[in-house]
Amino acid sequence: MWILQLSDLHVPSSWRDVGQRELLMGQLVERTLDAGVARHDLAVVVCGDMTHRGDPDGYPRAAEFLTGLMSILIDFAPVLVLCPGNHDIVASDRPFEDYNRFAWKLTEADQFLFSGRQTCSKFVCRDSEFVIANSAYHGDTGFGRIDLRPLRKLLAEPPAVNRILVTHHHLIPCSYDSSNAHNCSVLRNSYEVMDLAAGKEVGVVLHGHLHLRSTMTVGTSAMAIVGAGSGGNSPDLPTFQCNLLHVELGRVQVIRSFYFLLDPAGGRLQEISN
Amino acid sequence: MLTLEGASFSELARKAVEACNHGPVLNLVLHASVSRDELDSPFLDGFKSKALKWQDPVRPTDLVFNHGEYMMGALDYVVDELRRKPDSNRACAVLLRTSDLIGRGDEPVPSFLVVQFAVDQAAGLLSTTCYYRALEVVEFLPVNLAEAALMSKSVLSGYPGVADVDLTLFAFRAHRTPGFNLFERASLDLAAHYDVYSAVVSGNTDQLATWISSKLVVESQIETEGLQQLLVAVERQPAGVYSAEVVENLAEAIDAMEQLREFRCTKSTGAEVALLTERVQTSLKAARDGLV
Repeated sequence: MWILQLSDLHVPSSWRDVGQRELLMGQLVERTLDAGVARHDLAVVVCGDMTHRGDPDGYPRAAEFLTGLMSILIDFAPVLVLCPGNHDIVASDRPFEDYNRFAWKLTEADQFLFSGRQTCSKFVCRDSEFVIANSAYHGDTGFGRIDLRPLRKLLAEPPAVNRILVTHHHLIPCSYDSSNAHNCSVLRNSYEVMDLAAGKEVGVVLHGHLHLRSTMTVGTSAMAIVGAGSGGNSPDLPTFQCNLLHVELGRVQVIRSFYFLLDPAGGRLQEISN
Repeated sequence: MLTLEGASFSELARKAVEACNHGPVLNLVLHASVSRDELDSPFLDGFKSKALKWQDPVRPTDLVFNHGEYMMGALDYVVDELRRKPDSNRACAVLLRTSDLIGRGDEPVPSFLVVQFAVDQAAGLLSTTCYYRALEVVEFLPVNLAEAALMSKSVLSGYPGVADVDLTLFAFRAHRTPGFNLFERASLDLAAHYDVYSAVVSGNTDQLATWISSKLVVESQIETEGLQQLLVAVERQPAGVYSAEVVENLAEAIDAMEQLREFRCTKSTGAEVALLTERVQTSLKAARDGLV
């Protein structure tokens, strides 16, 4: 299974396509073909923060962006896997209602809808399963936490060939910017999550939140933890970053990372060497 | 006629969209037998606040109309009627009379016409049946299902021992119109004249883009006044402040919307409607994306 990992789209209600999008998408397709991705073997995974600061009007624009992306990639017949983030908490009394509406319209799949009754879910696609854990399920925008009970239950089931855990918040604290709270907004129960996941044949954990590309391996099973940078739609987040991963036989075989600076003068999708 | 069965409300919604992929379906019947818990599913959660607005006895200001204003407290009557006579055939709410349609042309009135309930306490079953004169399955059906869930929960509040719900929806004409706007007035049409003018003069392109985007839905009740205000304000700015592309596309969108409004007086669906709708969407996106 090939995975195109995006995260932190932060699409504002004022989003408009100023032309680079087509350029970027076209180059993404070239890179995907160049990597040898076959039809029906691609999943586009978005690790949360579809809208910006809980703005419900960001969702139609985020849907427009993702519909455009899926349409450009149509020759690969990709599936779309979605996970909410802390910016997708729109209102305290109905935190993921707008997100759920957005996810339903794009996927018509219950597995991408989250509430107090469904904090984790599983989406199976051919020989791969995506276990999606809503790390913002508790409704607090300040930090991440995964609901361990349903996660344990899902991971106790017999695994598919490739088992991929998808969440929003990063698992390992980072103090790259001492002026913000990112090192405090880490997944609070990340040790339990990593311990559980590594023991239950999770080959890779995909996350976002930090707006930084990162790759680490953990445990004796060398479980990969891969973070994607931002989707670059918000005016204060002009840089687009994504990862193209190949997961086979339960492990990450290849990770290619790309970076695109959204500049009115034009831009190029550049590969980052690992 | 087509009958679709589902094990969940989300499955019904998915099947209905698939059924209408190649055109409207006449006499679509949707049926699900579910447990009471399904009334709180994550799928229905996603549409609950919209359903509450549609059920509100006082029409919210951002809706052209709603169901609650036509139901006039009918659910209270239903609950009382079932308490009075558990096997009553009158536990129903009727939203429209023929007189509400005669002479009204295409003025907006509910498609949701009737809902009826029955409770079989021995069997632990609530039956809810709804009838729609027309039903849009992509955008509106999930909201209607959420409304049916809310209404069912209201009735069930008096029956803690009833564990199952049998839901049947009849739609005379079910159709698929992605982007259908649920009779919600766009934020541009709710904005004050002064705010629109002020945003244009100050070059607040983010606000202008948000407003133009708010018109990207497929409106049943087509409103062009907000766009016209915006166009007039943009045209009055010194040359070069806004590109000719923005002006042309705003004008094109308004023209297409007015043609669509006129065309819809005689036909609701079809290739011509689809073409005009496409023209509106393309022009609006081009106008929005031309704002720099």
